[in-house]
Amino acid sequence: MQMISDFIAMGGYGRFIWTAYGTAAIVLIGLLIISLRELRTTTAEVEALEANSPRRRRTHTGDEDAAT
Amino acid sequence: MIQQYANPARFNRLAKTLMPWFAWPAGILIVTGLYFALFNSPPDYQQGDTVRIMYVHVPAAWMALFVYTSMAISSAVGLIWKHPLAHLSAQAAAPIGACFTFICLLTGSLWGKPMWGTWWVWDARLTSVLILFFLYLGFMALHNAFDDPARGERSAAILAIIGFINVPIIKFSVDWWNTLHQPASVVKMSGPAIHSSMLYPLFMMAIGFTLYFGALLLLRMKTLMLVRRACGMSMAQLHQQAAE
Amino acid sequence: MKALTLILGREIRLALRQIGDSAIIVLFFVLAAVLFPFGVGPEPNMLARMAPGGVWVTALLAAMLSFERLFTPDYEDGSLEQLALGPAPLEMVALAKAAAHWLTTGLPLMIAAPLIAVLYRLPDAGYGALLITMALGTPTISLIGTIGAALTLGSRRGGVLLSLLVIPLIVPVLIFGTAAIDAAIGGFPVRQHLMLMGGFLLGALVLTPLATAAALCQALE
Repeated sequence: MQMISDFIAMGGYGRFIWTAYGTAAIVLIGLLIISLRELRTTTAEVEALEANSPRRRRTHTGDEDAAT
Repeated sequence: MIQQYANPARFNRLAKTLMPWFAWPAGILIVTGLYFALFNSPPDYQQGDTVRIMYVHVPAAWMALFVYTSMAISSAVGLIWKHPLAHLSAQAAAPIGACFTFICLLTGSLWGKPMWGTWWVWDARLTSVLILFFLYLGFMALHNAFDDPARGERSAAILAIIGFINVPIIKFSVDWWNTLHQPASVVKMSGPAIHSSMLYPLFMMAIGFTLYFGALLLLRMKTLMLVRRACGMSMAQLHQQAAE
Repeated sequence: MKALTLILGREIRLALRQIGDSAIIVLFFVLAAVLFPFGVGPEPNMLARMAPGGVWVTALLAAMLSFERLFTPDYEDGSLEQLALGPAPLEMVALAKAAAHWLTTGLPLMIAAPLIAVLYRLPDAGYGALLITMALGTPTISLIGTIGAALTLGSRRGGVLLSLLVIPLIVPVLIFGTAAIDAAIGGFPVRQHLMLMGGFLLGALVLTPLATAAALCQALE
């Protein structure tokens, strides 16, 4: 118990050290989460656009016709 | 045109193979680095436990400079060779660099308060890093300030190259001017001036941060490419609807 | 060289036709400077202490307001394109623009600066340094400002964005400008500060036309 509280106190500088590490972690992890979410939403957007893109479907069927 | 369409596909494949090589070692190195930094490294004989802030502050500072340098280089590549991925990588890197610079400034401030007795001093090193932060913000603002995205990326690229002047100023500011900030103690001609028990966690964190940057850069570039594709597709659909 | 004088002549003629623009900038300079005594109180020692910084900061802010209109009129009416297609290289155009901007904005600011310094009760020893630093610093600011103006040409929120880009780049001019005046007041040598400011001016004279030309070039693409 004593060891843990000593560790958290960091020789009296605990609040500086933990704030430094904490904000660094929040910023880096936050950036990662934001980037992942952006990737997910744009992927969904592109897929939605692809699904209702008439031109694309038409060229696809055209290709298949040519192949058969 | 062909190059523009061929490259994203090849890039996506490359990103897919590279991603695990960046992401996993980044996580492992940062976690072990944190363990050594917080539990298994000695307190400094002068600074006590506050020296532990160094393991975040110094790698973040290195990254701030490294990311800016990479941004300036890819901006130059984009302007000179008109490689489509170059501007994209600069655009993807800017927010990451801004975050590292912010962490560097913030942890520096939290280190300065107990050691120098003040959150902030207006000396050459701190001021030039603050300017670096503003350059990142200016780059991002300029990128988004135009209706034509191509215009924005070229303007921002020129700004990134001009702002590169600041990088050597930051590096040498502690040698050129008298300042409270301590001079470089790791990268020196005569070898590092700090003990290896501190050096190892420092390098672990630094390499971990670099790999984190690499992984995030790939991810953000992929997103930007998809955004561009979505833009192009919705434009094409609008044209289609207008034609019908 | 002939092209430079021709463009310069055109710019100055245009600026003189709109002399009101320069007058407004100088008026802003005086008004912003007058705000400080209201803000910090009229105590003479305090004002004298902040005089170098007060004059320089307000001069910079006033200069910021003038950059937005540097290329926009020419860009909108197509004469910038004409200039780019003309025989003079774009670097020359950029240099002429900066020179004209300095003559119509930097010089008036420089002339108004001692008047503001009087209001702030700048110690007598500081006036020489104030004028010299202004003489070295305002052209540097004009040169750096042309880069910002060229980069933000045709953007949304041009003016604010321009300040965001230019202010970080001119911080060194402010630092050494005020340091030189402070040194002169304190009786210390000012030579090294002035040498550095001269160095900034020479560097800006060589490098900024290149950057501005590159920015203009891609704006017209």
